[in-house]
Amino acid sequence: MSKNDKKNKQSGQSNMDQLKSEDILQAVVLGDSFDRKFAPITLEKPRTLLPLVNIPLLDYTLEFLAASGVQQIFVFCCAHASQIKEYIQSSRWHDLPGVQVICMTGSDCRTTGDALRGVYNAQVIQSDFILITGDVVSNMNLQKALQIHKDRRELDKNNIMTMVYKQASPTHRTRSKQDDTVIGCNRDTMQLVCYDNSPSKKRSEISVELFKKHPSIQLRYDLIDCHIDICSPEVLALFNDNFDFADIRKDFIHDILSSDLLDYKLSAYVLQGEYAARVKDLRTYHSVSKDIIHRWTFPMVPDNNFMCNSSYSLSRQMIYKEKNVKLLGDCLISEETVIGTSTEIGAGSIVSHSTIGRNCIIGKNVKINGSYIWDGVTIEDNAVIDHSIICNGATIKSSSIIGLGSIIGFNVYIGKSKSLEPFSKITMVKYNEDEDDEELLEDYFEKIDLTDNNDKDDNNNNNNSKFANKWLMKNELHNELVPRNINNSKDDNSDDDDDDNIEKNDGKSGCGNGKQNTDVIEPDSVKFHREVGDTVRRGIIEKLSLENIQLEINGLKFAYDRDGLDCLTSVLPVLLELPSTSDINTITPKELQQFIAGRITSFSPLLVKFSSEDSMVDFIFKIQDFCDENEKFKVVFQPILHQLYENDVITEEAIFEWAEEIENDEEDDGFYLKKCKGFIDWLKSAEEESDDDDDDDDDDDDDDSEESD
Amino acid sequence: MTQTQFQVVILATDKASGNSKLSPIDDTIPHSLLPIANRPLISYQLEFLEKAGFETKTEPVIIVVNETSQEKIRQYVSEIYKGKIEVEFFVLKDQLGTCEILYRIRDKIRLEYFIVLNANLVLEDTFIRQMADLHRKEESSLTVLLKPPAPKVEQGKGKAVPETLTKQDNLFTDYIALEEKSQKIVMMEPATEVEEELNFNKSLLKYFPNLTIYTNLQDTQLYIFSRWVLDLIVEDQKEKYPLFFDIKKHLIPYLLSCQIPNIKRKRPLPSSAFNQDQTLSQTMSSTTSPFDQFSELNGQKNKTIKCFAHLLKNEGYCMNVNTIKNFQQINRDIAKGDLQYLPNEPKSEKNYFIDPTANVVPTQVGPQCVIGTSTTLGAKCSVKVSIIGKHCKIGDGVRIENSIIMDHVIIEDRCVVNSSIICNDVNIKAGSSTVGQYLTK
Repeated sequence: MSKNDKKNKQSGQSNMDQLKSEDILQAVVLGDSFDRKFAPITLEKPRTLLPLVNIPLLDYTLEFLAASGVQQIFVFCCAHASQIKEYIQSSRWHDLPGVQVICMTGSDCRTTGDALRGVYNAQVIQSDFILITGDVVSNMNLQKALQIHKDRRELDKNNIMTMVYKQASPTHRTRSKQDDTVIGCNRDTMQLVCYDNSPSKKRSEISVELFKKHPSIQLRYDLIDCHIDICSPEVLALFNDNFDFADIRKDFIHDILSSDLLDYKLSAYVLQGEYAARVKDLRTYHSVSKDIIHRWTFPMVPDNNFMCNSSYSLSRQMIYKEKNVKLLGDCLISEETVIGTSTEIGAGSIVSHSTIGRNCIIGKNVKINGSYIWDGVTIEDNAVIDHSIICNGATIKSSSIIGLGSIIGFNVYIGKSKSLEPFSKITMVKYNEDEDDEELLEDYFEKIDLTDNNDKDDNNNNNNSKFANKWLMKNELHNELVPRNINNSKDDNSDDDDDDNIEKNDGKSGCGNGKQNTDVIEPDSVKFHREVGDTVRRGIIEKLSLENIQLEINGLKFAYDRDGLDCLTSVLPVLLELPSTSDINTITPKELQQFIAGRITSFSPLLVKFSSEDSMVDFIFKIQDFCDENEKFKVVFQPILHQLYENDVITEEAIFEWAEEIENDEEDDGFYLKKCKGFIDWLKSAEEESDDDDDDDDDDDDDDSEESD
Repeated sequence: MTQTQFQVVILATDKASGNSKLSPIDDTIPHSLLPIANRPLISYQLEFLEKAGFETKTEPVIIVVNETSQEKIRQYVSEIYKGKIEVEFFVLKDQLGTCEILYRIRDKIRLEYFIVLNANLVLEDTFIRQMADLHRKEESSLTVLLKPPAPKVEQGKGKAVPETLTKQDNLFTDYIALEEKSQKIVMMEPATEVEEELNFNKSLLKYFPNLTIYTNLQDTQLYIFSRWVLDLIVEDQKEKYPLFFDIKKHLIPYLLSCQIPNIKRKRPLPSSAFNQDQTLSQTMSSTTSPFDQFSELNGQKNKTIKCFAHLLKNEGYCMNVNTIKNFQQINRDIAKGDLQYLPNEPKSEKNYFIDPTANVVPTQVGPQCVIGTSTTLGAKCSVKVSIIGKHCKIGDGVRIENSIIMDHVIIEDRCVVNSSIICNDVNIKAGSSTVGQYLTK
């Protein structure tokens, strides 16, 4: 326990209620990450309660806040809210003197923005507060950052947010793959002037306009976002005013920086030497675990037993053991290992670079390397586990082999001599049609039989309950649990070609998901489609301004929680509907073409608003689907594409990518591709020409590599 | 102090970038002979080289001039110039890019390093030693001299008005990216070449993750190159379509891009670019950031080079005479008399410079004025903060303020000249008033 806490213990609690609210330092902990980086584990347990070196993630965040003198912590829970509440009730946070931990629930929240609007409406935040996600491990000096924020605010009250960044190389282990942030700030004031996080892009652009305000801009590619923000109450109000703000990084920062109306300023605070990292995905889970074991996070290390409910002690080679660990025979525990209480490890087993929870039973000659085994896991003789996560209560029978980077969910049963291919993700959660959660799709699940084939008497339980499901979310295939050097050599030579590959993969997987999303017909999506259609139709007839239409669609988009692609696919067919005066069967292709050109051109500002680079390829496929359904439009597919391109709704890159995917798709008969061949060739030649022009005055060598592709 | 490893090339051609922008005042005089406080511009450069201690006995300073202006410049250097600097002229008969000029004079450059200096630059020599040391110590391939903005004068409590770039400024503005710790220069892009946004390749950011981009640093157009750069130009000229035409527009961006390892290059760097006997200690000491250790240690293998920037920090005067505004400014600055460079005329106690042969009543002349040989001032004249050249005839009752008057100018009685530049041989009729004009014959 830190000194701060002890001080608070005496003075804090007694007159806590009498204190003016301004004097209380408040923090908001986001108990949900609103992503699926830890799926399928997070289907059953919130990320904040996942154990990191045998201690739930939330405890690290709360301990950090409490040690920094935060007096009131609001934990905002969304998914699995009851579990988080229960946990806080049962842990020492419940009645810790000096710190008040309060749970807030917003089970219908889908984004960080929703959560912050919830906090705003609760009207509990009175002054500057700390906004942090519930999965941050840090030992930074928060008071210093707070002071800097207050000083900045003193100078200019428009400084509403200070974001904490940690300096680390672009290839640092605690950097998530999704984290590819380029930050531009004023060198003297650290005021943020541009923010760009787009891992798929090879370049980062800075608008020349920015230099008019800031004669020198410091460009940082060596900062990791710690997701610790010191905010002023205005931030919450802004979220409340802009109901379309979803993510604090993507929407809020971007909007504030690019807005001419609001004169708000955001600043950065760069940590040097202090530790702060967010467990954002498996890669960071792995590296933060290692950092804790190597004591970078001191005082938050296992043998400090800061949660007062453990009994770790440190021995040589970074081996932490709780009391009452049974090591039988000549089992070998090698470096970087943590073992919880009442765990038993059999003779001849080798455990290295791994964390093992409490009450586990590990048999003989088991090999465990680089893995995270949570509480109550049973692993029988001769099993091999390599760089995997095994969740609570799982059973792995003898001689099974768990491949690299696998995730074995809660209570999964893996039978004798089974071998799991690398990067498998197994869960006991079943697809449930009654489930309200529309994001959980059947397509994500595939039944997999992992029970014993021959030896059915071995288990007494009902056999059926042991069928597990395989989680199939394809874009998660690269697994960050496996260290880079083991993973593949491809990662290390980060040439431009390599980046290209990743980009393509992302594009394809994204496309797959998009298809899945709408193939399954859900009432909501149909309703949304219809309402958007009505809106646009009314707009066309009543000649409403595009802005009003956009506003209405935006409202629907958030009401039904749709993305830009959904909007586009709902809007476009209506635009292509012929006015009732003309008949679809009598109209000539040429007239149709003219009609389409007119409609798309006049509505292009609307389409551009919903179009985003990530979804363009999907959008083209949607158009293709639409044409499939409407025979008459088959012939005008290419003109539609052309018009959309001319009006900047889709980029030529997207068209190329689409063409490429069609080419690779054996099932496709290439009908549309043939239609568009001339158009694509024209695009290509136009692009080459412009590239050639570039070469004359620009020596940048990337142009070359693009051409050679 | 002598600099024996450096050879100097002065580009005094009309086309050398940044020159010939002073129209109309340099229409009739070669740019290098424009009078700055009654001394030709080139005399300041020669004085700079002498004070900086360049050894020019064996390797003379090469001045590249156009055929049209060579006679006058030659005449000045051989007849009037009295300093120690030895000069060799290279006369350009046609318009060539600056890289091509270097190609033509390659055989004359024999030393390990060479300095390319634009003839529009007036600067004090205090920095040159440090800059040369930086170049040698870091085994730099290119070192650029940059001038930071003048410190802003606090104007009460009012907010400083942000400097906006005007079109005129755009011509002389560069986007310059420096690495935070090492002062490596990573990018220098003229504002005229950038349209809407600056592009940064992530592979560049990976090696230089902490950059600062400046628009308020000024490229003084003084560059130190290592000699191998000439080999690169020679190789390039052998190609059918040479890439390098202009030093600033083509050669420098190319050299800067070669700092990133593993990048495809249109022109391979010549083997002379890499120091063969690089010792381990040197490599270790020159490691600049934790992120490119690998490339530094294998600098040899990765074939990277290094380019640095030297920032002038209040360590001497520096001014590019590339706009009329600058031209007026530098005239005033030199006439103030507190710089290293002084007008040729003797300084009086009252801080003005009057040639002994001038026919002037001293009370007519205020401080910070320069009056040249054989110039006569009529009765009841007044001259304030102005420079009057040689052999001028100023009539009675003339008031001259804040102006530059060149040689052989005749100003008749009762004229008023304010904030103007009057070029050689102009004749101003009696009673006229000239305010804010540039008059040529």
